[in-house]
Order: sequence, then structure tokens, then C-alpha cells
Amino acid sequence: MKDLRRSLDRGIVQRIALDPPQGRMSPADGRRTGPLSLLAPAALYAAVWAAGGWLLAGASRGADAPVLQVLFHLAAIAGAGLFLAFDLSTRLSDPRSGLRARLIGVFRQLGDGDLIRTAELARSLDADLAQGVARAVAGLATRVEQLQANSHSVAGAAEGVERGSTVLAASSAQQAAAAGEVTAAMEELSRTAAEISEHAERQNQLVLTAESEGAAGAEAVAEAVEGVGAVERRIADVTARADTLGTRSREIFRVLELISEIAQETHLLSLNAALEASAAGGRGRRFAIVAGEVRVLAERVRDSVASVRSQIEEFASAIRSTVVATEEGGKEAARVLEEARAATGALAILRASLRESSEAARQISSVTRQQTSATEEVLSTLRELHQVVERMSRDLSLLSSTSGRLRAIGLELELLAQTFRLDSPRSLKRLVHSWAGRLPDAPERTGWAPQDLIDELVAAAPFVECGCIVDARGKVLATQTASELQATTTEALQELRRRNLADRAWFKKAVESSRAVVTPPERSVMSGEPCIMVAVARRNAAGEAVAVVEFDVNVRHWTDIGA
Amino acid sequence: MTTTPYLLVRLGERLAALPALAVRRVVRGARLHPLPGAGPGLVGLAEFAGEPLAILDLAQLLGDDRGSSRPPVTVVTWLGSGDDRELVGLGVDDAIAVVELDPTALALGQALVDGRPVVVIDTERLGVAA
Repeated sequence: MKDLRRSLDRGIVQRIALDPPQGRMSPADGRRTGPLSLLAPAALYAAVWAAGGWLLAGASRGADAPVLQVLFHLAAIAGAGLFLAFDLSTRLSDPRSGLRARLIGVFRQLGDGDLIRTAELARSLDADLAQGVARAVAGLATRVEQLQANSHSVAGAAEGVERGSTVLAASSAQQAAAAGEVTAAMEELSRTAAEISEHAERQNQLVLTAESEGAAGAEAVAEAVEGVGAVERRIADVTARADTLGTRSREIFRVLELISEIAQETHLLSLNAALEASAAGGRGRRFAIVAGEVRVLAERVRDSVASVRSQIEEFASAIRSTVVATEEGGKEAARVLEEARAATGALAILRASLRESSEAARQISSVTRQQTSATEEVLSTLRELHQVVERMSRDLSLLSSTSGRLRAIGLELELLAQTFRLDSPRSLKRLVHSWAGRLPDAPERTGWAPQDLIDELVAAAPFVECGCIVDARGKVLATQTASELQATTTEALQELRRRNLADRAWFKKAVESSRAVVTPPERSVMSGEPCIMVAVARRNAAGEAVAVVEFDVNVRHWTDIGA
Repeated sequence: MTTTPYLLVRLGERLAALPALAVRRVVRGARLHPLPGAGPGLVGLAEFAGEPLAILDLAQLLGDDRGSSRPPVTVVTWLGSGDDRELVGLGVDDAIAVVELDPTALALGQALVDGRPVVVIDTERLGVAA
């Protein structure tokens, strides 16, 4: 937008400044003089042709007849032209004829771009000149209208291209950024894939090592199983021997019981013998001594039996403890054996899993290397794509900028075309003239309603953003905005009605000039968008400006003009 | 000084001495037949030499309470004197030995054997008391 603004300010101002100084048209400029008949050159041409015919009839017998005919025609045209030029120069050099002044007036209007006034003035010329000027004005008007239409198309198309290219440039920039992100992600993916491959290879080595260790462990466990089995067999043997010892101990106990009973019986027997010896008196004394010794022996046997019993009981208790411990050891050995066998199975499963894991790691490493290669190719393509998208983004930005300039040029052309006042609905000067024509030539004396008038005029021109009528001193008589802006411009309108606009450029130019003026675009106080101001002064019969009518046209609504 | 032979027996933790001349025999594991309604000192009847023999618990006779356990050893002895003497079985825990005691021990009712106190039982008087 800034580019457009600068372009408009720089280019259009210069071109609008080229609006020729406005001059007054004297009523005498259009004075009609006597017609300059083409009969004289035609008669001269006919006379020359008749004389030539007579000469040609006499010389027709010669071989140079076609050449003579051509020369004859050329001579006739040259003579007629010389005569016409002489006649025209004579008339133009004659101040009394007024043709020169009228032609100057026509050309001045033409130079000012007022084709309507040019056509009006041309009607005061001789019929042939008037006809020629009318054709020239019509042709010029047609081309100006074509210029306007084409500039509309150019500006509209350029705006569309600018919008589209701006969006595309933004999208391309986003695509470039996205492509950059994808490229970075792919680079990261490539690095990660390489790391994965390396890790998988390392894992494979570790798994192979673990598998080797597992094999050694399996052998060790198998040996342990065999050893534990041997221990279990030994324990079973010990248990059996302990059982045998227990049985032998019980037998010993029974023998001891028998010995103990025999000893007790011997003891009693010795006591009874001693009692009998006592009853025998002196004769039984020696017998009593023997009985006492027998008793002592029986007691020693009894004490020995008690001692042996005690030792045998301790021995039996130790054997029972040994049996219990051995049984527990056997159970523990069986449990260890079972666990060792389970460990053997688990080791076998673990080794199988390790082999599968090793195979999987090898496959992962292989696939990841392939993926890395593919990723590198994708990465290369993505880098190229990134460069292409970035280049496209730059080209689109350039296209957007170029489109903006093209649109500015289109608007400049439109403004340039609007410097002509045409009998066309697209002509803003014609429109503002028609508005001025609705104003009374003495506004201060007539009871007219300027607000109603401006309301009507603005409503009838949808492309007009704001219109106003000011008096000859710049005081605002009435103003109004387009219907879609009225809701938001109430305060701005009230402010505008209180202001004096005599310092505005369009006001000064309109008062100074008898023709409509078109200013370069400037930001509107109503919408804040670039607008051009079109103004013309309403003059009274004496040619004095009594009021100025002006309207703003938003350049964004340019193509609505005359639609 | 002459001594008198005595049979040393064990009654639980205590020792007792019976005059050896009154003792006929020491037996073990005599088959006892309990008597319904018998007194606290009478353990039951046993067979000795084809005759019924009353078995008395010596510990209970001496005032000890040994509960319902039967004494494993029976000392067959005469109680009383003269024509009034009677052959009975005295139940003891063990018969240890035949020892020689001072004649005064019977009168004293006690003596020391190897430093341990021994109750000396007068079977003649015991037979009267029984």
C-alpha cells in the first residue's frame, strides 16, 4: 500500500500538475465565418482533369499513356492541394474571418482535455472543419475511454495479482519455513537413524557376548546340577546310614535294658545273700563279704549301664539331629536341584531369546542403514525443494512488488484519462460538472436545500465516498458520505460541516479554473483510505465562482465508476 | 563294740534302715492286688511263697505322701516280735545295701551312713503300731 501511495504521490501528482493552465473561452472564439467551400478546388481539379483528358486523348496513341495518366492525377491532386492550402492560409491569415481565434479556442479546450467543450466549440467552425474536429474528438474520446477501461482492467488485474502474489509469497515463505523445518527434522532423523544403527550394532555385539556368557553359564549350571545331584545322593546315603545307626541304637538300648535288669536282679540277689549272711551270724560273714562284692559289682554294672545309656542317648540324639539335618539338607538339595534345572531351562530360553535379539539387532542395523541412505536422498531432495521454494518466495515477493507498481501505473493511467472531460459515464469531470449544473448560480439568494441536493447526488453515485458543497469563501454548505459509511462518520461529518475548506488545494484550483480539477490521491478523513478529490466551481453569468462542489472517490472502488 | 546289720533302703529322697535280721527277702516287681477300701498305708496284696502277703508303703507309714505311685521294690520282713510277729511286704523305692550300724541307733531312731542321715526303723515296734 505504501508503494502504491508513494507511486501515486510521486507519479500522479506530477502528471496531474501537468494539467494545463485553465483559460477563459471568449464567446468570440466560436464565431462562425463564411463557409470555405471545397467547390473551388474541386472545380480546379475538374478543369485540370478535363484539360488533361483532352491532352490525353491526343497523346493516347503513344506508348506512355499509363504514365501520363498517373502524372495527370498527381498534377491534379497537387494543384487542388495547393489551392486548398492557399485558400486556407488566406482565410487563417485574415483576422476578420475569426476562424483562427475559434480554432485556437478549440485547440485550447482540446489541450485542456475538455472534449465536451471542444466538441461544442468545434460546431462553430466551418462544417468540414467542425466535422473533422468532431471525428477527432470522438476518436480521442473513444481512445480515452478505452484507456480508462484498460487502466481499470490493468489496475484491477494488478491488484488481484498483487493480492494473490502476496498471499502466495506469504504461503511460499511459510512453505519455505516448513520445508526448512522438515529438512531439519529429516537431518535429525538421519542423525538419529545413524545413531540407531550404531546402537543396534553395539547391541548386537553385546548380545553376542551375552549369548557366549550364557553358554558358559549353562555349562556351569549343568555342572552344578550334576554336583547337586551327587550331593543329594550322598545325603540320601547318609540318611540311610543314620537310620541304620538309629536302629542299632535302639537295639543297644534294649540290650542295655536287659543288662540293667540283670544288674538289678543281681543287686537284689546280692542283697538277699547279704541278708542271709547276716542271719547266719559269724558263719555267714565271709558269705556276706562275697555278697557285698557281688552287690558292688551289680551297682557298678548298673552305673555303667546308666552311663552307657546316657552316652547312647546322646549318640541317638545326635543321630536323630543328623537325620533331621540330613533330611533337611536332602530337601534343600532337591530344591536346589530343581531350581538348578529350572535355571538350566531359563538359560536355554534366555540364550534362544538372545539369539533372536541378536538377529533382530542385526536386522535393525541393516534396515536403519538402508533408511539412512534413503533419508539422505530425501534430504537432498528436500534441500533442493527448500531452495526452490525460497526462490519462488523471493520471485513471488518480486511479483507482488511489481504488481503493486503495475497497479499504481494503472491508477496513474486512470488519473491521466480522468484529466479528460468526456461525454462518458466514467468521466469524473463530466460527473462533477453535472453536479455543479444542479447548483443555482446565486446560492445566497435562492431558497434551495444544499443538503438535500448533496444527499441525492451522493446516493446516486455509489463510488463516491464523500461529497460536499461549499460557498465561494470555503464555508461548508452541505456534506454527506456514502450510505455504508454514514454509521461510522457521523462525528466526522459534523466536524467537517464546522470547518472552512478554503485552504484545500481542490478548492483553490476549482475557484481559479473554469474546469473541473482532479487531485492526486490522499488519505480520506472518513475512511482513512486513499481517495482522489474531484471538484468544480459553479459560476454565475459573470463567470464568478459562487460555489464549489466536490466529491471524494476511493481508489479501491475505482472500477465502480460508471458501472 | 559289736554292730547290727541293717538293710539300707531309699524312700524318695530320704534313706531308711531296717533290721536285717527281720528281713526275709527283697523282691522286685511283685504282682500287687489292690484292696478296695484299704487304708492309706496298705498298697495291696501279693503272693509270697504261696501265701498272701500284705504290702505296706513304708514312706506313707513314716508320714510321707508319695501320691499314687507304687514302690517298685518290696522288702519282705517280720513286723512285731515273738508270736505276734507278722510277715509283711514293705514297699520302698530301692534297696541299697546291708550296712552295719551302732546298736544305739535303734534306740535313737536315726543314724548317719556315709554322712547322710538315715531313719532307723524298729520293726518290732512298727509291727505293734501297725
